[in-house]
This record gives sequence, C-alpha cells and structure tokens, in this order.
Amino acid sequence: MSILSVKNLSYAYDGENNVLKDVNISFDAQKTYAIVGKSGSGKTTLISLLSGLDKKQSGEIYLNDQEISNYDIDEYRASEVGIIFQRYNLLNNFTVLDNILMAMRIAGQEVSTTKAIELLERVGLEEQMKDSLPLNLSGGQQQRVAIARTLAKNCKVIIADEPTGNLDEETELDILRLLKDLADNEGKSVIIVTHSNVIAKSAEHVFSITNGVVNSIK
Amino acid sequence: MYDLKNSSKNVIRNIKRYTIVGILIFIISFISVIALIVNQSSESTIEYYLEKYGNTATIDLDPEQMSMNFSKNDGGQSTGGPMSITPIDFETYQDFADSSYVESVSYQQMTMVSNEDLKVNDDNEQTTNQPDNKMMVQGSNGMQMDGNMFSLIGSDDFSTSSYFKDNANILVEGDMPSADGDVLISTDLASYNDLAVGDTVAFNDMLEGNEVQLTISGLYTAATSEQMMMGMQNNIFTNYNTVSQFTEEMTNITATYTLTSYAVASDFEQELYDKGLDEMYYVNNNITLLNQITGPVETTMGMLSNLLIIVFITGGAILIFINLLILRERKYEIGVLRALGMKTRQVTKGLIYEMIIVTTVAMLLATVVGTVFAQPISDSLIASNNVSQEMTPMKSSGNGPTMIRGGMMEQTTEETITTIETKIDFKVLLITLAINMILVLITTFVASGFINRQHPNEILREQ
Repeated sequence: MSILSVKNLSYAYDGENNVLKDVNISFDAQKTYAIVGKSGSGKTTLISLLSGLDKKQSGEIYLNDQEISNYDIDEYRASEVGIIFQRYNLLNNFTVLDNILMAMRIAGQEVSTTKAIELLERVGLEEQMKDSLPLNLSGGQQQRVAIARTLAKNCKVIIADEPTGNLDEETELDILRLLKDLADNEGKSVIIVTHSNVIAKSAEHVFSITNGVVNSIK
Repeated sequence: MYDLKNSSKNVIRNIKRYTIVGILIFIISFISVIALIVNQSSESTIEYYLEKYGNTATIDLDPEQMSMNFSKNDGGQSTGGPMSITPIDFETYQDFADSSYVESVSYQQMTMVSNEDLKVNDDNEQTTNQPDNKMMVQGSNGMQMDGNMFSLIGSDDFSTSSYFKDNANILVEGDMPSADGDVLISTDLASYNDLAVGDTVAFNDMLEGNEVQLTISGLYTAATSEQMMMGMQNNIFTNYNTVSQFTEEMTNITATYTLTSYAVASDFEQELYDKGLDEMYYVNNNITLLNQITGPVETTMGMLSNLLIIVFITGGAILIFINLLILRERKYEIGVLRALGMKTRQVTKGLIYEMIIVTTVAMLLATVVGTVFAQPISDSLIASNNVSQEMTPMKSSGNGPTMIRGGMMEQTTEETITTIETKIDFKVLLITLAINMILVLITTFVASGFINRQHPNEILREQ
C-alpha cells in the first residue's frame, strides 16, 4: 500500500527551466527505494519536496492519502518524515545523547534517555558514546547517530540524501544494512538518493532521474 | 522541563558568547539597581525634608511684584501714585488661619528695645557696622533715647519659630518665657552683664519710649559660632503679649502657619489671594531652604536617572547587536533544528529561556553588588554635588539671614544632606526585573525576526 505518492509534480528554480517535470511516483511501506541520477538531475530537489524542506510549485504530494499542504509543514517534518543528510547535520555542540533527545522533543515523543540509549545500540553504537560530541566521532559513527536521531522521531517514511556519500565501502555496507533493516523489520518506507551502485542494487525499487524526468528502472 | 534543561545546557554550550551578554546585562542591572536604590532612598529623604520644612508657611513680600510695581510707577506708565503696600494686620492673619489647610498658627512680633546700662556683646568683628549697637533714636513721643539696642522677639510658639526650630538656639537654663514679662536672654549676654535667671531689667521701646520691666526666665545659647558672629546672641525672646506692651502698632508681625501637608501650600496660597491677600505678598513655604537642603540629592537623582536611560538605550542596542551576532554564529544550529521540524516559536522559546537564565544570573549578581555599592556611590555623588552647590552663587550656606524671593530676611539652615540611607526594596527589585525583561523581550523580538527570515533548506545548503 502506497504511503507516500507524488502526482504531476513539477518544479522550476527560476520559473522557466523545470528541474522536475511531471513526476508521478509512489512509495510503499516496508520497502527500500533508490533514486539515482547525475548531479543536477533533480534528485535533491525531489527529496527536498518529499521531506517538506521545499514548497512544491505544481502537482500533489500525498502522505497517507492526505495532500501535504494540509499538514503543518513543521509538524510534517517533525513527525511524519525523517531525513538523513549526506553531511549528517548533527548539532555539533550537543552530545550524541542530546541530539537524539532533541529529536524526540521536536517530534513530540516522550523524551527518554533509556530509549535514546536503546536507539544508539540499535544503530550499532555503544552506550559510552552517548556523551561524546559528534565531531569526535568518525563519519560512519556520525551517520549512525543521524539514523538513530531519525528513528527517535518514529516516522513512517525515512528519506536519506546520499547517506553513504562520505563513507568508506565497509561502512557504506553497514549503513545500508541498517537502512534496509528499518524497512524490512520496522515497516518503514526508506527512500535513498544515491550515486552508489551497491545501494541501487540492494534497493527493491530504483528510480532514475534524467533532466527532471523520473523513470522506474527496477 | 526538558526545554529549560536544554536551554541551561545551551547557555553552557555557548558560555563564551553568553559571558559577553551576561557582562552587558550585569552592567545594565548594576546601574539600574544603583540608580533605583539611590532614587528611591532620595525620594524618601526629600519627602522627609518636605514634611519637616515644607509644611510651614509664612506670608512674605514678593520682590518680583515689588520691582514690577516700582518700575511701572517710575516709568510713569501707571496712572497710580507712588507704590504703596498695605501691611497685613493681626485680624487678617487670624482670618487667614481660619482654613482647612492650616493645622495650627503661631504669631511672632519684633520690636527694638534699649537699655543704656546693658552692654551689648560685640566681640565679633562682623557686627562693627553697628559698633556696640549704640545709637540715638527719636521716639514717636519726641523723647530721645540713648542706649544699647536689642531685638525683642515675641512669639506664642517658639517650637515653630525659626530661632528655635531644629535647635537653632538651645535653652540651657531656666524656662522659656511663658508669662507676660518673662524674657530669655543668651548666656553670652548674661555673663557679659552679670545677669542671672530671675533678675529684672528695664527696657525702653525705641519708637514710643514706653518702659517695661522684664524678668529673665531662662538662658539660651546660640547653636553655632556663625550665629554669634551675626550678633544673634543679643536677641531677647519673650512671649507675644509682652512685645505688645511696648507698642500698640503691631505692624511687624509674622504669622507661621503649620499646614496639614506641604502639598497643600499652593492651594493655601490661592485661598489667601481669594481672601484678598495683596499680590505684593506670596506664601513662603521654605522652598528655597528646601532646595538648598535637598538640591544635591535631587541633582544626584537626576544624574543617575539620566545615566540609567543612557545605559538602558545604549546597553539595549549593544545587546541586540551582540545577540544578532550570536544568532548568526548559531545559524547552522537553528537550520538543523528547523529542518528537523522545530517550529520558529519553539526555537525562539529556547532562546528566550537562554536569555532569561543569563539575565537572571547577571541580575542577581548585579543586585547583590549594586546593593553593596549603592551607599558609597550615593555618598560620593552627594558629596560632589554638595561641593558644586557650595560653589554656586546665590546659594547660601550657614545660619545667617538670606535674601529669598520674599525679600525678607529668612533664617536658613546649615543642614546639609551628606548621606542617604540606601536600602533595596521590593519596588527596586520589581523595576530592575522589568527593565531586564524589557531587554529580553526586545532581543527576543529581534531574534524571532532573524529566525523567521531563515529557511532551513537555505541554511543547510549554505553549509
């Protein structure tokens, strides 16, 4: 069943040249999606619109059959869609634990240290790391914290923008396993924008964007 | 609770930035506390002096009116004759006393008397313009008197008389003159003439030549050497009726009205004009004297109030500027929080909490330090303003007579406020808190505007 769908979505930064042209796609729960394409093809624009970071210009985006313009866009980002960034975007002067607790607070969840530590362990980090500052962690560890932060919000849709872009192959595989696990075992719809063939191959569905036009290739 | 806890952590996370903010708020709060404490205490002090001096009123001639009237007559622009001032008779003074603004009234009358055997104490060089006070006077009855001249001052209530109020002169032996014929002389005059309590001395009225026997009921001493230098130790005090025995023409009368409050002085003055008081007169309620006493305190209050306004405006502007710089530095953090779905108002709320925490700490510290330093600072400012006032012309010091608006000789005081008792109260705390909360609100308002202008996606793209 489709949890997130896009109908006739177009977007132009300067009002003339469409970065996205009449996009029609849908995403189901418990599945992993990869969106591939060259730089500037419109991938990041698409996930910015899906995650509510940008406002759509034309077309519709539905979450659970409800157009997202009916949502409070802050609440939409806070509790409906989780975003994982290529550069992690952690709060660098917050501890690992505080990053997760803050996400719980923003999502309106119960702010629980115990649950936050469970989430850290869930993404493969040790409890001792909870008091570390993000910049003292490796890239892979920071991305795990970012994933734990997204999990803390308990969203149904997780959108990841090049989540392994800055990581080595081994770490990339670890992160990929983690994301797939979220789809397979926790029922999330995981949408990954990537250049990585490894991720594209492991995804259940792959969309390719070329000059703003989206095609399903897997 | 989480928000407050997180804001506390944020203050620590941004301790260097917030130290600058804290120092600025400390300075603003410190000056606020000092200014408010000193002003509050000064107001109480001024109120005390207003009650002490401002609730007595006398009717004096107004030199401005006299001068204007004189100029008119002199310039020939007036059709009237030479300037004439109607003296106020005793009945009129009594009529004026019949007022709801008057609590009590006392009358004082003075006449010049002489006794050729009594020596005047003229040890002081300043009285050499009238050596020995000895003079020849032509009485109204044509009799020529040769003798030493004394001021015989009669009052029915010496407690309100400027000669005895606030211990200007002090009774040191015997009693105040209560019975007719009793007099009070100075210890100097008594020792100079070998007189004692109980002795009787005959005096002649200088105008009408009447001789009256007066009995010394007590001795007084002049409180200050300046009074002695003015020859005031030669004043003889008696009751009101005794002076009347010398002269039937009671023209040199002074009525001292004790008003229900200093605040009704102008209403009382208006009432007197309505009752027919000549415009040549005005109601003198010791404003000059009050200004002389409270001037340095009022100047200090003004200085501190101006300083407070300047610090509030300048400090507020600097605080806004520093906060904007801090927000720019924390732009990424704000962008991440907004991208995660935090609402603008939640971000702003967090910043308000942080500002409140910093402000509270800085304000509490400033309140403690300010309370400690309020006393020495106010003393120092008042002392400096006292010096300035002493150096200002037309302001008299000392206990001598001074020309004031009424053109009459009025007793002034040596009383100078050198210190005020500074203490912090709830009102000061409340106003200091309000000042700081206004600053928090202003900075928050600016911060809110800054946050609203930032789109999370744009901030993250910038990174």
